[in-house]
Amino acid sequence: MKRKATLMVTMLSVLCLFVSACSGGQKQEGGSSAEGSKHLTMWTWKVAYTPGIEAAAKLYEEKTGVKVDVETFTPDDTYRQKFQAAANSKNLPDVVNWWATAGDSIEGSVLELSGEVGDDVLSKYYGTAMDPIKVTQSQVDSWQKDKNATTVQKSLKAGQFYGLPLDIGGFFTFYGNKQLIEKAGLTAEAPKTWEEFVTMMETIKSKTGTPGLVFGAKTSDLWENWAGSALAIMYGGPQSYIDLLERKAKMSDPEHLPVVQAVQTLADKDLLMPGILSTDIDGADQAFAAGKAAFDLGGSFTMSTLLAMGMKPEDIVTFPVPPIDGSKITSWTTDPFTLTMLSVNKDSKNKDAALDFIKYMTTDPDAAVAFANAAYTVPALNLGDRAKDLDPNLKAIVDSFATEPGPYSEAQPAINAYRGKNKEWEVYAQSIQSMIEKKMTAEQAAKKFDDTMKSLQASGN
Amino acid sequence: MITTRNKWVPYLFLLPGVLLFLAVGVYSVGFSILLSFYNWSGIDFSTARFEGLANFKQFLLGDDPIVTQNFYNSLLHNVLIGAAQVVIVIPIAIVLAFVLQNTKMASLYRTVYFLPMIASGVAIFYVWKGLFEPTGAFNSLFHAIGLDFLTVPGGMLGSSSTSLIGIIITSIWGGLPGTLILYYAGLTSIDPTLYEAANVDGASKLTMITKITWPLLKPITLIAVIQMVNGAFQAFENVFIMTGGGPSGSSEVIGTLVYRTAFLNNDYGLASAIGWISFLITGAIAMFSIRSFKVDI
Amino acid sequence: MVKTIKHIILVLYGLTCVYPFLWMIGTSLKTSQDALANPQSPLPKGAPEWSTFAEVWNKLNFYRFFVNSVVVSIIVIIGVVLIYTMMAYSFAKFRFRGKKFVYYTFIALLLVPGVTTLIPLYINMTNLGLQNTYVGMILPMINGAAPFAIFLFTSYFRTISHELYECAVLDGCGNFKIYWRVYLPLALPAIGTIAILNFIGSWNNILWPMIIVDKQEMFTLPMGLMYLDSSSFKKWNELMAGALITVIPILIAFPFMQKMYVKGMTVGSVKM
Repeated sequence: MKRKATLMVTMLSVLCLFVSACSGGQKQEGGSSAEGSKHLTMWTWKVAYTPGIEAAAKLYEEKTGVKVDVETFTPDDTYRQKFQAAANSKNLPDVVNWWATAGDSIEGSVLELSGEVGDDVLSKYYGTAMDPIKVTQSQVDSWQKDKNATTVQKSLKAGQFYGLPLDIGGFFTFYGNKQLIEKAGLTAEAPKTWEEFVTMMETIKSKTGTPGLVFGAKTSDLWENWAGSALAIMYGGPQSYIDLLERKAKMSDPEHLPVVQAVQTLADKDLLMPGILSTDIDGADQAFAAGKAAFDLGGSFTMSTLLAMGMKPEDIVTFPVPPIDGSKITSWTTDPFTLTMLSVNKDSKNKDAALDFIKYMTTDPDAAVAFANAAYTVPALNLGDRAKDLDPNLKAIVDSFATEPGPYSEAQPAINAYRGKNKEWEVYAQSIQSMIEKKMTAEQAAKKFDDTMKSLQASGN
Repeated sequence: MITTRNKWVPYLFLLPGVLLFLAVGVYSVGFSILLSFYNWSGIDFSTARFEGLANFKQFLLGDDPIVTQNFYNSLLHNVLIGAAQVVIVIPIAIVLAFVLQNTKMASLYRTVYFLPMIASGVAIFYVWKGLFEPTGAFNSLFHAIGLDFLTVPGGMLGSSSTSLIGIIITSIWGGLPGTLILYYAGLTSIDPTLYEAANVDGASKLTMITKITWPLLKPITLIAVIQMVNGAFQAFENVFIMTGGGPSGSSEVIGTLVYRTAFLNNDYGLASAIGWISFLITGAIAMFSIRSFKVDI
Repeated sequence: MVKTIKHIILVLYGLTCVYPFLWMIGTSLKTSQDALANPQSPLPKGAPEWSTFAEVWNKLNFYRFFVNSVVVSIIVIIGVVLIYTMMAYSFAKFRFRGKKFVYYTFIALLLVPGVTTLIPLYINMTNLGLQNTYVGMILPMINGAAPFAIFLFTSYFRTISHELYECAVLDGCGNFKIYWRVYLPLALPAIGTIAILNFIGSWNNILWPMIIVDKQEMFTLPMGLMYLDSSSFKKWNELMAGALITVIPILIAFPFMQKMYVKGMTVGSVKM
C-alpha cells in the first residue's frame, strides 16, 4: 500500500516538476512569429480602433502580402499591465499602439526610430504631430535633475522618438445642447468670452432648470487637461503657463488666479451637474446625451460618442473653450495634438516588416482614410485633398483644427515634461474637486498649490 | 497526532503543494519584495537601479511630502473601512444568524443572502454607483421617509465627506453574507442538548450565552475579523470603479495608491514598497487579533 | 408580533441582496436608449427587449468562452481539493520538523498584496512558457486558494477522531490509502465549501487571465464581458445581458451547493 502512495505522490511531483522544467525552451512565442513568414501581430487597447486598423491592414496585405493580426486588450489599465508584463518577458507583438508620449518608460522595449525614419516621412504628418513623441531637451534636463526618474528616462536623448503618430485630436471643446439653449430663449451660438458662457449657463439654469455643465470630474486632473490649461494659456499667454510649470511663477499671481477662479464661479453659481464628482468621462457624455446638462466638456473624439448615443449633429453646437475677459489671446484655435502612436517591438524578428507597416499605416493616404473612417478618429497624416474622402463628421472636425501650430503647441513640451512629474499639480487637481464641492476657494486652492510647490522644492522633489 | 516510522511520509503529502508554491509563488513574492528596494519602471529589470531604503523613506518618512501624505491618508481609510466592517458586520451577522436559525424558511433566506457573494465582480460596483447618484435610490429613499438631512445633494460618492461611507456600505454589503454563513454554521453546530442541560441546571440565559454560545463563536469571530481586515486592506476594485479614490483623495486606499504608482507613474519599486508595508501592517493586525482572542489557528 | 418583525427584517435584508440582480435583469431588458436615459430605474420602459441576449451571445464567441471558463474552473477545483487536502492531512495527522513554519507560511499568503506581485508572477509564468495556456491561467489560481483551503481542511481533519486512523492502521492500510479512502470521503462537506468558493473565485477571476492570455480563443466569460464593455461608450443593456449570461451557471449551481457549503463551514471552521 505504502508503495502505491509513494508512487502517487511522486507522480504528482513529477507533474509539477515537468511544469517548471519547461522554463528554458519554448519562450519565444508571443508576438514575433517564425522567421521569414509574412505575418505580423499588433496590439491596441482601443476597441473602436480595431476595425480601422484591420481596414488599413487589409490594404497592406493586398499590397505586400504581409498579414497583420490585431489583438485588442481593454480597458486601458489592463492594457498597461499587459504591456508591462509582456515587455518583461519579451513577449510583445511586432507592433504596439500606445499613447503618444516620450518618457513613459516603454522606450526600453520599442525601437528608437530617429535613425530609421527620416524627414521625408515625418514631413507628411500634421505639423505638430511629432511634438509629444519626440524627446525634448527640457524633458532630458528635468529627468537628469530628478532623483526619482527611472533609468530609462535618464537614458533618453533629445531628438529621439519611439513611435510614429497614428491619430490626432484636441481637447478644449464644449458641446452644447441646441434644444435646451433655444428653450431658454438664447441663440445657439458660441459664446465669445468665459463670462458670456457663464451667463448663458445661468440663463439656461433659471429658465429650464437644467444645470449648465457636465464633465468627467471623477478624474481629478481632467479639468486642467481639457479646459484649465487652455484658459490659462489664453489668459497669460503660453509663456506664463510654462513659467508656472517650470516653477518660476506662482498660482496666486494675478496672471493665474483668475483661471482658478473660473472653476469657483461654476461651483458658486451651481452650474455644475449634481453628482459631477462621481461622474466619469463616459457618464458625462451619457448625461449630456440624455439632456441632463446643457453643456459637456470634451474633445474632438467626443462627437463620435455622442452620435453613437443617438444625438444628431444638428442637435449639437460646438465651440472651443472661450477666453476669460482680459485674456492675452482672445480666441482659441483647436490646435490638435497626437493621441496615439505606433511603435515597433525592439526584439521583433520582423522588425523591418513591422517598421514598413507602421510607415505605411501612418503615411499612406488610402490606409489613413480607411483607418480614420472605420475608427472614427482623425489621422495624423496631413491628408490634403484626400480629406474629402473622410466621413463628413470627421471632415468637419478636421476643418475645425487650426492649420498652423498655435499656443498650445508652444506650451506642450513643458506640459509633457512637468505636469505629470511635479506633484503640486496632483494636489491642485484635488483642490479643483474641493472647489467644485465649495469646500475651498480659489485663493485657498492657489495658496495650497504654491505651498506644495515650495515644500516639494525644499525636499528636493 | 502521530510521529510516523517513515519520517518522509508527512513531507511527501506536502510535496505537491510546496512544489506548486515553489513554481508559482516563491519567485513572484521574492522578486516583488526585492523590487521594493529598487527604482524600476516596471519594464526590463536590467534598467532597475538599487536604491536601498529610498522607497521606504519616500513614503514613510516624508522624503516626498506628497507621497507620504497620500500613504498615511490611504492607510487611515483602509483602517476605517476595516474597523467599520468589523464593528458593523459582526453584530448584524450574529443577530441575523440567530434569527435565521429559528426560522422555518431558513433555506430560502439563506439562498437569497448568498447572492452578494456570487455577485462579486465589476458589474455590481456599477450598480452601487447608480444607487448612490444624486437621484439614485439612497437619496430618494431618505427623501421619501422624511430624513432629508441624510440626503447628499452631490451623491454619496460625489462628496468628499461621504465618499468613504459609500465605499464602506458596499464593503459591508459584500462582506456580510460570508460572515453570516460562518455564524449560522456555528450556531447550527451547537448541540441543542447542551442548552437543555444548562436549563435543567437552572442557568440563566446570559450564562448560557457566555458559557456555551460564545466559546463556540469565538474562533468564528476571529476568522471573520481576519477576513474582513484583510479584505479592507486589499480593497481596490470597488474604490477604483466607484470613486477612483476621490473626490480630493477622500476615498483613496492603499490599493488605488499602489495601482496609480505602479501603472500610471511607472514607479513599480515604490509601489512594491508600499504594498509590502501594507502586508506587514495587515499581518500585525492579524497576529494581534489571534493573540487577543487566545484562539489557535 | 416578534415573528412579524423578524420576517420584516429578514425580507428587508433579502431585498438589498436581490436588488442588484433585479437591476441587472431589468437593465438587460431595456432598449439601449432607455438604459441611457433612465439608468437608475430597475424596470424597462415599455415592453422588455429580449433580443439583446441573442445579440450579445452572437456578437462574441460566447460558447467558446463558456467552455474555457468551465475547463479552468473545474481544473482549479480539482487541483485545490487534491493538493490541499493532502497538505492538510499531513498538518493534521503528523508531528514533524518544520510543520509550523510551512503551515504559517502558506496561511500568510492570504495577506500578500496582489497588485505588486502581478508583474513578477507574469515573468515567472512566461519563463515556464505558460502564456496563453490553461495551465498558465490555472496554476496561480490554485496557489492563490492555498491559505483558506489549507486552513479549512486542516481544522476539518483535526475534528475526525484519531481512533479512526488507528483502526485503519490496524487494518493494514498505508497512509495514502487512509487519506484516500477514509479522510477524503469524510471531508466531503469541507470539500464542497472549498469547491464552491473556488468555483465562484475562478469563474469571476479576470485580472490574471487578462494578463496571461492574448488569444481570443482562450478568453473566459468575464474576459468576453470586458471586451463588450469597451466600445465607444457603455451599452448598459448589452453589458448586463452579458453579465447575466456569465453568472447564470453559478446561479443555477448555487442553491444545490449552498447546503453543503454551510455544512463544510460548520465543521471546518467552528471546531478547531
